[in-house]
Amino acid sequence: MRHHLLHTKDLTIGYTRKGKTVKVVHQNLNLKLVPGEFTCLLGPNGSGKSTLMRTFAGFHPALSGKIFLDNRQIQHFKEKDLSRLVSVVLTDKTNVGNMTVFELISMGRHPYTGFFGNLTPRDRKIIDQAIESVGMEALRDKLVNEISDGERQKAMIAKALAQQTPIIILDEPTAYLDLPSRIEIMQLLHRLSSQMKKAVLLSTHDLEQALRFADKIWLLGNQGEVQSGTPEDLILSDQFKQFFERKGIRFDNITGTFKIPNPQARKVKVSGKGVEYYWLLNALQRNGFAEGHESDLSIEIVRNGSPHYLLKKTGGAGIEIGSIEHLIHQLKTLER
Amino acid sequence: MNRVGLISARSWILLLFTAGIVVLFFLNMAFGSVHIPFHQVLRVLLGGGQEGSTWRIILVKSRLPQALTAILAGGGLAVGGLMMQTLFRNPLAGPSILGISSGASLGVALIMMFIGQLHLAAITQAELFGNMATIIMAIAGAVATLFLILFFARKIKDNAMLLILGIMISYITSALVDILKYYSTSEHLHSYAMWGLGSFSNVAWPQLELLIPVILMGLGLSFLLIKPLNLLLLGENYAANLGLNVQHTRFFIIMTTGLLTAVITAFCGPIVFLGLAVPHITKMIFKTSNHQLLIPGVILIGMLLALACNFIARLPGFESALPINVVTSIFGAPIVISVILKQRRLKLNV
Repeated sequence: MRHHLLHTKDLTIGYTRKGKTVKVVHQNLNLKLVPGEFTCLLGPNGSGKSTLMRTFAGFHPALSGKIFLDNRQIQHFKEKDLSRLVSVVLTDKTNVGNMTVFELISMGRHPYTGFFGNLTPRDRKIIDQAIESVGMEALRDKLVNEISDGERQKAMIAKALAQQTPIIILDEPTAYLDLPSRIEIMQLLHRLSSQMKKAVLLSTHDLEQALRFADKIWLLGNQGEVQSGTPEDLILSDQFKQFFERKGIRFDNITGTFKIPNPQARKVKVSGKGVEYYWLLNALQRNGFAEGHESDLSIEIVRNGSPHYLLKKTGGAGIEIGSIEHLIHQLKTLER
Repeated sequence: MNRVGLISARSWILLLFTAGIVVLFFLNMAFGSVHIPFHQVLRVLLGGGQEGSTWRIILVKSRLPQALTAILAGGGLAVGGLMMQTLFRNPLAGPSILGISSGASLGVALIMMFIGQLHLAAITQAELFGNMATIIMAIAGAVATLFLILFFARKIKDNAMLLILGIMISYITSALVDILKYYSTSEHLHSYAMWGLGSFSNVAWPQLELLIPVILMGLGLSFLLIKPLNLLLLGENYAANLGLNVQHTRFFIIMTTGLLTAVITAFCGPIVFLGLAVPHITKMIFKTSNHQLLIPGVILIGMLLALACNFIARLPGFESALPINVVTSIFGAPIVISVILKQRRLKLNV
């Protein structure tokens, strides 16, 4: 059996007020984090992703059950020891705008610095290595105010690296970022976890990136149900399907994306292949058409020379069209 | 300029402010209703000068304690304001935000009431300022409020809620003061109003013997809080994850600020503006949120501004008639406004 950095035994999480349980979010959780693995936590709003992460970070107590870090129960750790074992990247508002990127990342060294927080040459070296790991050398001396949201999240990840913890927990770090930054951060975390043998746990709503980069996925449901496994197994065993499908939304196991089925869609026979075929289906679906073999309408993708489309209605002459925009327009005209 | 160069440049600014404090200190010594030449000031300060000479008496009995009080109060209030702004992540927070100075006011208002009720003729003639009874009651009121806040701080985890509680306490104490005022004679009211305007000039040597150690202790404690204050900039969760005991830190920050505010208010009256404005001026000058620079920065700038205000208040022509709160606000606020207008792009970072 592999070494577990973190594992839970019959863990129950939720909220308390004045020592009384107000809401149980999840019960009987048995989860584990392994070094070198990038784990993504998926689940709808209110499914308790943040609560679970905050419980792991020691911000909330567990309602019952046990959390083991390095085979020791979490409540037996002092703040200082915990800060050398688990680092976090949160969505909390910070007031570090007038700090330099270096100063912000140097915060990660505070579990190791002395009373006044002075940095030793070794601390500085570790901070510079963390900056290098996230590729922010050029921004080292910029103020946090002056960098983009994506860069700020990378700086926070570098802070977590400077903290030198075997476990890194990130609560929706890509939530406000544009797509390229999201991919960059996910790629970065995947690389860091495998290269540095860290256990990385990240919560996200971004299914596509999670499927692409995660070594493990935890699915957290609203009704307290939890699934975990490699993304591919979860898809092939239809667990993804069961988890995400609801009325009007279909999960496509082949592409790993969601489809919106339309039973009233007008069927069109499509013949052809390649990238044009893929995007033609996308355009058809959006415009209320669906691919079907039994139809009086047919589209043939002609790929000699520049690609074009041959639209035919039974009994009519074929029309050659150069772009999907015109094709859709023609289809709609024929149907009117 | 790279950042390292900038940091050493900032260290030079700290030295510059220290030099400024020395210059203003001498100006405070030399100017007033009586002008004393600089070489005489220097002579007296170095222990020379004729025993019993008028200049010596003015300097030793009046101007020196007054300048020292200004220096201590300016530094203490400014660092208290900075700590409150960082703890509560609120640019409008100042050292008196938790109701500690209004607690002191209540204590003083009670004295005023007792004077009226008990017909203590001896005190009736006296000013409220500098009176031992006033100081004791002010400290009692401030410390009582401080303990109340610390009690709440143990119960309430959320800082915003704690801030609101502090403001509520201020309202209650102000209302109590209003009741006392309603039943006071106009003579006592005037005396109370004068106290409320603040002054550095009513602290004599025996009182400085208490003021100096307490404030030096408060300033010293603030240096011990540099690392926790920096961590708090990240928010409580990040700070806790970096090994900070947030509850203890909060206790020490409130304790230190409360101590400083309590003694300063007791001896100088409720000094407004400095504690709120100096942290902002400092952040604008140093362009950093790092408390390693901000703490010494606010202390020095607080001392400098307090000395400057005291100097203006005592310029010939004003004849010591300008209360310190009038000077701090009338001369200080335009400075802050102009700095803000000059640096419109600067984001307000608490």
